[in-house]
Amino acid sequence: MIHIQRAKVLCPESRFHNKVCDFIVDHGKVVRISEKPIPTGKGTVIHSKDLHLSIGWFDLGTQIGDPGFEHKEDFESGLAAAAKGGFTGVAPMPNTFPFRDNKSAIKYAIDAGANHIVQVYPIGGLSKKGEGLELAELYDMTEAGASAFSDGLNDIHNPELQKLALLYSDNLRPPLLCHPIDHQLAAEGMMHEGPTSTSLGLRGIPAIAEELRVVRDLKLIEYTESGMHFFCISTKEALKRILEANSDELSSSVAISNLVWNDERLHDFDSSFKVEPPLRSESDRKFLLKALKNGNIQVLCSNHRPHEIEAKRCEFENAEFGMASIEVFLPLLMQAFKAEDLSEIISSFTSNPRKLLKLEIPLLEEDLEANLCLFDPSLPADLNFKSKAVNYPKLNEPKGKILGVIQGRKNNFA
Amino acid sequence: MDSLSVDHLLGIKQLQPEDIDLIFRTADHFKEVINRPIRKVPSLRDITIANLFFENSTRTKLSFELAEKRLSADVLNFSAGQSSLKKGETLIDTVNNILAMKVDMVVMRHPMPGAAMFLSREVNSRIVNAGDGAHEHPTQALLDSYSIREVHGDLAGKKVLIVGDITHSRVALSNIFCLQKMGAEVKVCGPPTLIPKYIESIGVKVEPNLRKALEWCDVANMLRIQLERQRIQYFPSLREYSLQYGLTKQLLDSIDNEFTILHPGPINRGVEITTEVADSERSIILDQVENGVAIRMAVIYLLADKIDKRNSS
Repeated sequence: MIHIQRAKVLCPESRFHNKVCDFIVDHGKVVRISEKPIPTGKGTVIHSKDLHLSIGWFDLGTQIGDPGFEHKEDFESGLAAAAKGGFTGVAPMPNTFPFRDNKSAIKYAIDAGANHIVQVYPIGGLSKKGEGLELAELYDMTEAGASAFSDGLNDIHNPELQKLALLYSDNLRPPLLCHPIDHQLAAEGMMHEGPTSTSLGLRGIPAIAEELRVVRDLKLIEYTESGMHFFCISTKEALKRILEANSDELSSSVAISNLVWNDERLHDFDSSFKVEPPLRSESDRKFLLKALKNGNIQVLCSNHRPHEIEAKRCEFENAEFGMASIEVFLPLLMQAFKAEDLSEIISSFTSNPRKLLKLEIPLLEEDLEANLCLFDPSLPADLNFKSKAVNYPKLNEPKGKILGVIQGRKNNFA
Repeated sequence: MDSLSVDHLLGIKQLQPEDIDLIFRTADHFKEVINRPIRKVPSLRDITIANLFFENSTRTKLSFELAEKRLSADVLNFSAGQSSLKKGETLIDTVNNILAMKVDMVVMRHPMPGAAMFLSREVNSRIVNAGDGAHEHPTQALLDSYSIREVHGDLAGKKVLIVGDITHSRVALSNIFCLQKMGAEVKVCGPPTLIPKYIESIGVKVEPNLRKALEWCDVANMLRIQLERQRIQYFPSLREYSLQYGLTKQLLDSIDNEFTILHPGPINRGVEITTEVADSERSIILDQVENGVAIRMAVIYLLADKIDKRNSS
């Protein structure tokens, strides 16, 4: 039995939202929720000065390199890291080797999370081998349990194939996730194109490379009368285009790193901050921050991209893109937002990604299975990472500690 | 000020105007030394310097080597052709292996921006950036400014024009930073495809018309077209580039403005500058080469002062 004492509930879908409650979890179920303190009984007691409770967090588009890149992250380390970061569900990108573009690969990923506290909802490849040439077997992967389709951070360069993908997937349950980037305009770019890239002599990735791809895709979506999720938008202008289209069939996400830093952070060629999409201008950062708060961006993701030391401890151009972030998601949140903002943005990493993938949203009600995240935003962050990655950003006295997650009968309380 | 504010020379960006002034004053002394009958001083007899060139270079490498030898340092030369980098060794391992042979200072040229800064964080040695991709080439900028100072005196208020491929040029970027720190005004001129979109954000004006730009300036620095660093064709042909941005005698004679001409070399004669202009009295190209040795002696001498022999590799 677990007794959670005086926790501030952050769950807009619940009648307890923003209230301070006690919870009793027993045999994997929430058996009691009370606004009044429950006398301490048997079992584990969880309390903290500024204890918060929400449904378990969900990360859209996590990179777990299993199979193929297990030296960066395998399911064991990746899911342990996710749980440590407060997540009870992840939808990993298909950028594995071989590329996850068939039913057996989907099943492999689902099986990897079968007995874990973190459930795995794998994203299937949109094109065969992620090459952007032919559609993968989307129906077969849907039947096997694919949660969405995407070529990850590759984009579908060929507009004809993108049109076919939109048409073909429209009748299938999983949504289409596309990271919009025109790779020819962005070619060999190392960071956001702007004053900082100019003064560093680094080839820039212009903001227009993202906007141009969004504009193309919006026209294709209009033509095919379909929908899409724009994964990890990083620029103001691209988001404005999506909002102007004013369609319920469209949604977008943003990476936490794009809300915390701007491109000036790369002034000293620190490869930890070489990420994709790149850290953009301060004006982009502020616009995206506001958009997440007011719901114009629906999903916030960690964009966790783990790497081994050799991938980052090298010349900036040789360093791989990406930042390990899933275990510092809360500390990064606390850098980008104030604690009082949490109740406005919590849905973006709890219920909204699950809604997007048409998954069941855990409810905070008595007699239902527990799917909870417990955290204290004011405690110092725990930086003993479970991930294999070495590319976590260096943070100055980070705040925000995950006390543990519960999913059914499983929990990871120390 | 008799000591630099930095431990490495990674770029002009990190220098204070007082550092530049100190380097110039020290170079004045070494310029006098290299014009003596015995052109050598014993200053760095106990110092070993490795010249690591991961990118082709002739004049910069020779200039550094000569500067080091004029200071009596022991010199180790290493170039990409002989390198184990091609066998998959990391830059840090390569450099640490060399430092294990008790080397005090590394002069490095590398094709990637930020390589010198990365190395300075990772290895225990003084680092001199001899050019890192399209980022910086600080000693070139110092010798260019030093050469301008010899002709025009104080750099403050001087109008300097940089012509050519600005996007791929570390010389342009370092020159811009150096000239601005010393109070000069900088304009750039070149094909719009080779001018970075955000160049004005670093305080530089753009003049697309070469004639107008030359009428404005006190000094014109004609850059070489960096064909090796261009990943696509940024202009239709060298002939067409030369027609628009080449400095010819005819153009020079038609402009009523006595500006000084610089070129960082190597010259593509007949492309960015014709032979008559390169060899004319207005050109101080060979003075730049001579000053390069004095400037590099000054930089190495001043950085050697920062070597802690107790902790040195």
